[in-house]
Amino acid sequence: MFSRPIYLYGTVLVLAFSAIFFLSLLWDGQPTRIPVGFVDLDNSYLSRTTYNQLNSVEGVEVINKYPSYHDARIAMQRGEIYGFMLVQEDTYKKAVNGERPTITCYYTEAFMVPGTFAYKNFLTIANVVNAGVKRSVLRAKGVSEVDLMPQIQPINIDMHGIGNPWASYAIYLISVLWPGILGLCIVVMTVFTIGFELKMRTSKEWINISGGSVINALVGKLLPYFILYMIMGISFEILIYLIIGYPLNGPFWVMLLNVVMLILSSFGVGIFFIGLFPVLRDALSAASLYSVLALSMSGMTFPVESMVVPIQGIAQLFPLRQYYLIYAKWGVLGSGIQDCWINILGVCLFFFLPFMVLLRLKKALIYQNYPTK
Amino acid sequence: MKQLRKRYIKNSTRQTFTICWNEMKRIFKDSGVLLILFVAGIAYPLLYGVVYMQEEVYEIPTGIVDLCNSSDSRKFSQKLDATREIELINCINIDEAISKMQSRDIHGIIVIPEDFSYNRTVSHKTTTVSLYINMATMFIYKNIGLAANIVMLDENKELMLREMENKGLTKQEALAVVEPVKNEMVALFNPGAGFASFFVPGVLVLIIHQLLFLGIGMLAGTRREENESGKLLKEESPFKRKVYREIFGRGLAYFILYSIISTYILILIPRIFNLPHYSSTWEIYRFLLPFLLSVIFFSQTWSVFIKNRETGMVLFLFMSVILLFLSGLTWPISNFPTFWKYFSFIFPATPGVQGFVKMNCMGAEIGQILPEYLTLWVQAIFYFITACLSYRYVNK
Repeated sequence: MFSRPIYLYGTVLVLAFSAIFFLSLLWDGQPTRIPVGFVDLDNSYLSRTTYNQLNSVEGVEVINKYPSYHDARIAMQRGEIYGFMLVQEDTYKKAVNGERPTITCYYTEAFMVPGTFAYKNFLTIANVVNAGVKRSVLRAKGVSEVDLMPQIQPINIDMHGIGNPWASYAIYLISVLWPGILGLCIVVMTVFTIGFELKMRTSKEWINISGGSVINALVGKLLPYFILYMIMGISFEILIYLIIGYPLNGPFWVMLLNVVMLILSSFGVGIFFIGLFPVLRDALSAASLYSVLALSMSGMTFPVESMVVPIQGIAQLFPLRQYYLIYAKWGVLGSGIQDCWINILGVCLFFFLPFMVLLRLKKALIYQNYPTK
Repeated sequence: MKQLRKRYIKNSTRQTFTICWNEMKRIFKDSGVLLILFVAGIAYPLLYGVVYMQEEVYEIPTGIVDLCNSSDSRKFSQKLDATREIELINCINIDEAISKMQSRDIHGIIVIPEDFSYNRTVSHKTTTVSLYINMATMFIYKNIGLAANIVMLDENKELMLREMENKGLTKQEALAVVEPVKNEMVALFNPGAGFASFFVPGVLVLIIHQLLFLGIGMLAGTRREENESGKLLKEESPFKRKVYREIFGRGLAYFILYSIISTYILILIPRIFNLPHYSSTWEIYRFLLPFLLSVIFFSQTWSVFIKNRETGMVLFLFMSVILLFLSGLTWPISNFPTFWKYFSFIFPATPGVQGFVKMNCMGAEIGQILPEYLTLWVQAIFYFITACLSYRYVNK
């Protein structure tokens, strides 16, 4: 397998590169200093305070003050800023007079992560500014300091994000994305190594060496890949959960079991594809189309439960969906076998996929009666 | 002299078109290439459109543990239940809620403390409502958190108003104290804030990028399999000295075919699935010209590394996932580490996605996305030169 660089590339290099890429790209976890704008038509004490407050939070950075709504909107279309705050004329005067002026915050959802982030920070600042004005008004009305706090915030929500208390995008994404790429590599490489024998018409020889047993042949051929992928998969789980320390409430061995099952089921899917279409190119195209979809179908970003019903059914056909569910239930929430047995059973079904096509594959390997292109 | 030049232009144009025509024939004879360029080109955008047809995540089952069980707490939970994001499921105690969450019957838990009512009417202390969310799905966390926060702000406002009015202020005065400055949040350009409206347009550009890359790679791999010497230009080619003409002629074939497919992907699909489409068709075509050229020449440059029909797919399929991030669709480019920021400029996907999303989803015109537009032209010229060089190199 080391005779051509493609084999090493598809097993080790791609996976190592992906891990380095995602870990370094998303290292901060949350985007910081999102560029936003400010339109100050009031130029008052209040608007300046708002501007300073906005500039002091870590989440956003005011990169420019724009003279009008129109200018700020254009800057947003250009992608220079992801949102802006607009303080109208006479806002301060109206606030003092009790006329309740409005501060408007504009944000874009066309780039969802930074847009939502700008939104959150605007909301915080708007409330801080409001609380500031409120406090001074209350003080002026002679309400004592001690009474102040509950009147400003009678109810507080204390949010606990289980499995990711910092709402880090790195934890969200890498936990499932990398295993997704692992699954993709395995399916594609399995199809390629077996399909290449067919294409080069060397498959008969290969079967003969294995004593005529297709199972022996497959195990012998795929074992080195299996070992390499196991090393990669287990190293990854050790890296993110034990070394970097992504939070888990379930035991660590569950994630190990999870990745081993993902690897085995991906081999199952790969063999299934090449058995179903014993032509390298057809099998590879089908496997590629399938593998890329797996990431969407896992439900890591957009929940499968909110997709249209037929798609919810189709999602079950991807081992990554089960990997994700076992991670979300057992890994993140620490539930046990009683909640996950059905998913484990689901993954195990993929192990048996090759048996459905074994005979067909064996015939194809021996008689080589399919086109090579 | 003039005559000579005229003949030269005529000749070279004819040659280019011959190359282009031959390449087209090649494409249409090759079912594998057709599968990638056309079948996947038509099917993939439809698939993504259907997968994300439901734009929003509504009525997420969320457990409520009401330890106070007073009229106040019930009113608070009714308000939560009334939001479109949350659907409350009653749980007797925390243990029941946890076990329901572990089996994914609910995705979050809201706990109202025993002293909820007492605090607000008697002791005037801040009451803390606890919210536990399973963070494994981004949209669930975002929506439950947002809805709970809005209900909290609203409830706070109401409580304070009541208190002020009890102290003898008129409603108008009370409002001026409680909320001296109103704030309004306006989502420009994607007001529905749907996931598909944000995600699918960028993915459409990536689909074009990846399919062209894989298709051109497969054509190159096939050529090398057919030629024992591994050359990409046929020996019998009458114009073998003019590598640039060969590159351009073949590129023209891909360009013509993909102009049609791209019309379907970038113009028709957003209209079929009711995704944002703020840009005029003419503007999209102006943008498409450098985008397709740069992708084509980029793919031709890299195609020299592909030795077999199929290796392109094995080598570069995973890049689809990487490009989704490198293009800045999800993680903002302003937050890229410096190395990746520069690295992202290798791929036409980066300016392609950025430019298209700004035009299609925010109504920007070419003049407003000049940086992306010019980058694409620079890439197109640069990769045209590298394609010539790399073809010449493998042909030696």
